[in-house]
Amino acid sequence: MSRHWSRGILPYLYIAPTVVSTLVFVIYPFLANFYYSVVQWDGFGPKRFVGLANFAELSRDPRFWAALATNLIYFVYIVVIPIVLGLLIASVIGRAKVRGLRAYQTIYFIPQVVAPIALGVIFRWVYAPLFGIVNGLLQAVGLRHLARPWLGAPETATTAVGIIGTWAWFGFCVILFVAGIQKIDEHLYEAAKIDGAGAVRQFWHITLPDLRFEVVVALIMATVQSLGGYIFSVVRVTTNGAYGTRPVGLYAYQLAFVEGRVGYASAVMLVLTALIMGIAALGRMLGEGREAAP
Amino acid sequence: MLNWRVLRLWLAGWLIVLLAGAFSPAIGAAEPGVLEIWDVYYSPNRNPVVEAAIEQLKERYPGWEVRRTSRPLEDMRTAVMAALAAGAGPDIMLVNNGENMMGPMVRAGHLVGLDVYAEKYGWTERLFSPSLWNRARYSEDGTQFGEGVIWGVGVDAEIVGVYYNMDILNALGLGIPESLAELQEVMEAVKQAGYAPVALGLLDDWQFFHLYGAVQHATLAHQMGADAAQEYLDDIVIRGSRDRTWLEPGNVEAARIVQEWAQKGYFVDGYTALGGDDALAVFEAGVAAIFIQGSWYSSSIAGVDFDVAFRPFPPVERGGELPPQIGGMATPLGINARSAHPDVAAEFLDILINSDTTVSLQLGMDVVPARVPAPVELVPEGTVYHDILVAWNEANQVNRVGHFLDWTTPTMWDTMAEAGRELVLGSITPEEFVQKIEDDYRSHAGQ
Repeated sequence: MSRHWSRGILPYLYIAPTVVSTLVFVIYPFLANFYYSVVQWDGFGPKRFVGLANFAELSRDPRFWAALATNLIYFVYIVVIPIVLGLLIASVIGRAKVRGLRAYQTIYFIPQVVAPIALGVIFRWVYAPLFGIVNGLLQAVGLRHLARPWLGAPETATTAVGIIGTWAWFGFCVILFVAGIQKIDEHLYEAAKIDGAGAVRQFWHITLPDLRFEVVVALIMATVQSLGGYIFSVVRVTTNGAYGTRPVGLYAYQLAFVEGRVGYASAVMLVLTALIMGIAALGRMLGEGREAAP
Repeated sequence: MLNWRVLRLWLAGWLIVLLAGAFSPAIGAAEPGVLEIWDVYYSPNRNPVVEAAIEQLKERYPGWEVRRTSRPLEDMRTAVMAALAAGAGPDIMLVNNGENMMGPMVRAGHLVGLDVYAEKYGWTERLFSPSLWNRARYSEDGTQFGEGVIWGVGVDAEIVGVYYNMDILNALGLGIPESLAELQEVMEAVKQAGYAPVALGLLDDWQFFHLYGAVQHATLAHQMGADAAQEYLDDIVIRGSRDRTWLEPGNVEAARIVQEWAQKGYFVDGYTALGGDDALAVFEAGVAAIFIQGSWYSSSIAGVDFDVAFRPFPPVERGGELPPQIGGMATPLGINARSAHPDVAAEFLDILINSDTTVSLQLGMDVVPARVPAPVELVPEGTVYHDILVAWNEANQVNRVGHFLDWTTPTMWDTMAEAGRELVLGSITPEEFVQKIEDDYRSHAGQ
């Protein structure tokens, strides 16, 4: 009897820590955020239900749209460029016998294990106007006239921050795609070669379709980072949102903790969450073909 | 069965205990309790003051436990928000001035009014000047900033002024400027000699606020008189008066001056991508002659190996009245309305802000004490700290402690940061800069 009982309860005990932590740290905050988005609240006083007024205000808030546009620029640097570059590099080295491949993989992966706050601090030094590596290199190769305060000008700051994301996510994409390519049956390439397909056609018709799942994984993960906490941390440390570098997350922080508009900030974050979930769902739809394949 | 003699003794014992409790002079003294404090004074030159105050309280209240949590301001603000929303919170807690915390907390009934304690302990006579106390006041209903009840007190004070690298000035045969015109002459002479005139880190928003604010306080004092400028600033920054406007010639003139300094190359190379601490490092490296910043940097600057002087920001014309000098009380602490020991909490605050031990510790760590006048005679002459205390006393004596401009409206931080960078980079005119500030102000004034 008791063995029967323990068999019945045991699986639930195994998953209990995950369920409880998900409920406490994911589900509850999400529901609470939904509730806060329909109230007016300064963080200290009573909450006043305002329906969809926060969302209506959001639609005509130039600061929100500016922050969203900045996020889309980061999307290009953190998602699009690393995936495209990663595919190109992986397609070149994925099927070749590269000596020391593991060492390369480790080096490529290092940016992934560095906390975004630390990355921000490092790159603040890299871009430093007086003693930074970038300006130092430019001066060393006789391009002193190109040296500038990269994080301190509206025309360069967003790009400079975006490149930090490219650097961090490019290596991840390469490793993911190389692993994917190594799983593709070599006979497919040989058959394509016999049929007269060149490297470009092999890439379009064999490599890319078979890497769809890996691309979707990279797309979802990098999208979350380009819109969420990762870019928030990097920007907070490098420019704190100055010179048009502020993403939506940092704007919501400003609203909630500087301007005392917790309700409106929650509405902003809810829209951002919906955007992330929308892109993730789109990615899953694209990846379903590969998942369903035998 | 019942032993009446024992019962009578037992009842008499309880009666004595109850009477003793009722007539006890210090609440809680007979029953040890717990006092919980959430502050932001964790820095090496503030922490010892709090720790010493805790020890003093424990001496007065044997058996009492003091639980202290100290975190950076933004973290602590979030913690206070969460705790109060859950109906909890410490006895003493961070209550940042203005609409950032104090206003909403008063309106929600989270705070104990401190006027009774201020009178009991003589805070308003011994600490800060009247204009400074106004920054800790809100009306009883929390709708009007700058008047009414005191809701928070700061453990120390801060003032923004001008740090001069005297080695550079002396080498060039320059004296300390006594007017804005002389200050600009010094900047030009320093630049011609190949030094950076002014250390500035525009990446931190507040660096611009202090720079523009210092100049603006002086140009307003020139335009309308120093006391009238103080009144104007009180009205515009803390009272949000509808009758006032930012479209004053003094505000535009200050914007013009700051923009001109940028165009003339008076700021250190790469200043747009430097933060406040970077600017401090530049000044401490001895490559810039002037640093227009707050007293909070004094203990760091005192360690440099060149001669440094600190002066109030000068008036526009030599011999003019002292303009209002940006300053304030350090991030205040208040008492939770749910505290079971408000009197003990107030006594702790008194020890923390008003005791001789606190002043003595502050003098040893280059911190500006809340007590006015600050005992400048106890500090060695010729030090930066001495200069700062002299400037602080001077500003308090004439009740001209000016304002941090970002307090003006809840959105002013954002507005002024963006407009300030545009001004300095030359993408907007001084008039357009002031109009942007006015638009923000008008959207909140009188609300």
